Amino acid sequence: MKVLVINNDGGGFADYVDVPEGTTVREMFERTVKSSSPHNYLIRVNRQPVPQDQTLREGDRVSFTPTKIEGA
Amino acid sequence: MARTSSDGVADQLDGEPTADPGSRRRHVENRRRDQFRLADSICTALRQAGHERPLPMFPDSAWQVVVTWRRNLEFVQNRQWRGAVVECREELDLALHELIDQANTTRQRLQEIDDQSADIRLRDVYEELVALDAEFGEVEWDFREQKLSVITESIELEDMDLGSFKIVFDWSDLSATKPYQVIALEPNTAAGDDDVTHPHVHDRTLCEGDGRVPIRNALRQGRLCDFFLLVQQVLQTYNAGSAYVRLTDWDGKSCADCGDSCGRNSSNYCDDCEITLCSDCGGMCSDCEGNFCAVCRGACHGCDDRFCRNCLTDCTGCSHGFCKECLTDGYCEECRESDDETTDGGTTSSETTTATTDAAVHTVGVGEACVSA
Repeated sequence: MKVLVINNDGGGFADYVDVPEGTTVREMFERTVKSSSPHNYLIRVNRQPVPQDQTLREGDRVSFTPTKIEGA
Repeated sequence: MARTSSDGVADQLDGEPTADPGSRRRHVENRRRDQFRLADSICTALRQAGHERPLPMFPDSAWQVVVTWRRNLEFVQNRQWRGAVVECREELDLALHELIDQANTTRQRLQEIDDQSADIRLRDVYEELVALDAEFGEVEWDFREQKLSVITESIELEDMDLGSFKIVFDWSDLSATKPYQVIALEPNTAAGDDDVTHPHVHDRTLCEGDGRVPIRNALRQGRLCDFFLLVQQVLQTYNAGSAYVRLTDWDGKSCADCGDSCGRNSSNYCDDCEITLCSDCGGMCSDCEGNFCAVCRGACHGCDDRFCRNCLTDCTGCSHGFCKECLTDGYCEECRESDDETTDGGTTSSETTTATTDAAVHTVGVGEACVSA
C-alpha cells in the first residue's frame, strides 16, 4: 500500500512510499527517521496525533516533525 | 462572543461555547465556511507564487563554451595539428560534462517549481487550517490584511520565560524570503537590544537555522500546519552557539573581571577585548586614557603605573613590560645600567686576554710549546 510521508527532519520533502500492510506508525518512523527516539518528534497521521502502535492504512499522510530545531 | 476579523467575518470562537446546541452548531458552520474561504484565498496565492517563481538559470554560458571548443577542434582538425586536436578534445569533453551537470540542475529545479505549484490542492489547504485549530490554542486571520496567525504557548528556555509568540503568516506577498513574522506578546527583551525577543528572533524575524529548508518546503507545498509547527519548534529550541543574545547574558552581561551582573543598561566595555565590565571594574590606561579590563591592562615594571597592552613595550634586555617613559632606546634603566657595567668589565677581560697571549708568547720564547689536549 502507499502512504504519503513527510519527514520534516530532513528537507521536509513529501514522498509517496510503498509499505507492507499492517505497518505501524512506529515502524514507519524507524524506517524514515532512523537513529532517533520517537519521543523527540511530533508524529501526525492525517494531521492528527496518534499512538505509535497505530496501523497505517492506504493513502495515509504521515508527518514527522522534530521537537527540537536549532535556530541560528 | 465571536471575535471578528477586520472585514467583519467571525474568525474565532472565544470563551466557553454557548449552551444552546443550535447556536454552537451555527458557530462551527460559520467557522468552517470561513476556513474554506481562507483556504481558497491562500491556495490561490500559493499557486500564483509557484507560477511566478523565477525560472532557474539555464546553461547558456556552458553551451557557449561547448560551441567554442567545437569550433577550435574543427579548426585544428582541418590543419591536422595532432597535439592541438588531443587538447581540444579534452577541453570539449570537460565542457560537455559541465553542460550536462548544469542542464540536469536546471531540469531538477524546473520540476520542483512545477511540482510545488501543481500539488497544492484546495482541500489540503482547508484540512491544514482545520488541523491548526487542534495544534494551537488560538488561530486568527484577517482577509483584508491577508494574514493568518497562531499563538504559541509560553516559551521557556533554560528557565528563562520569554512569553507567548504570535506567528503571523502573510500570504499577500509570497515572493518574500520570509513571508511571516514572529511577534512576542509579552516581550521579555534582551538587555541592551529591545529588538531581540528570543535568542533566535531579531526585529520580528526568526533566524531559522536548521529549520530553513523544511519551513520553505512546508510553505511552498501549502502545508500550513507543518509551517507553523516548524516555526514553533525553532522557538522552543535554544542554540547558544548562534544566538543573537545568549540566555546567560539576557539580563545583562556579567562583569568579566569580578563576575557580578552588570545590569541591563551597562555600557562599560574594555577598549581592547571589548568584554563587558561593571562600573567598579576596569581602569584607565595612564598613557592613552582608554578603559581596559584587568587582563588587557598591566603595571609598568619601572614606574608601576597601569597601562594597556598597546602602551607597554617589552624591554629588549629583560623582556619585561615598560611604559615609553621608562624605556630608552628599547632598554629599561636596569638593563642599561647592567650593560654599562658589562662594558666596563669588558675592558678588563680584554686586558686579561692580552696578558694570556703575551704569556703564551713568552712560553714559546723559552723553548716550551703548548700542546692541546
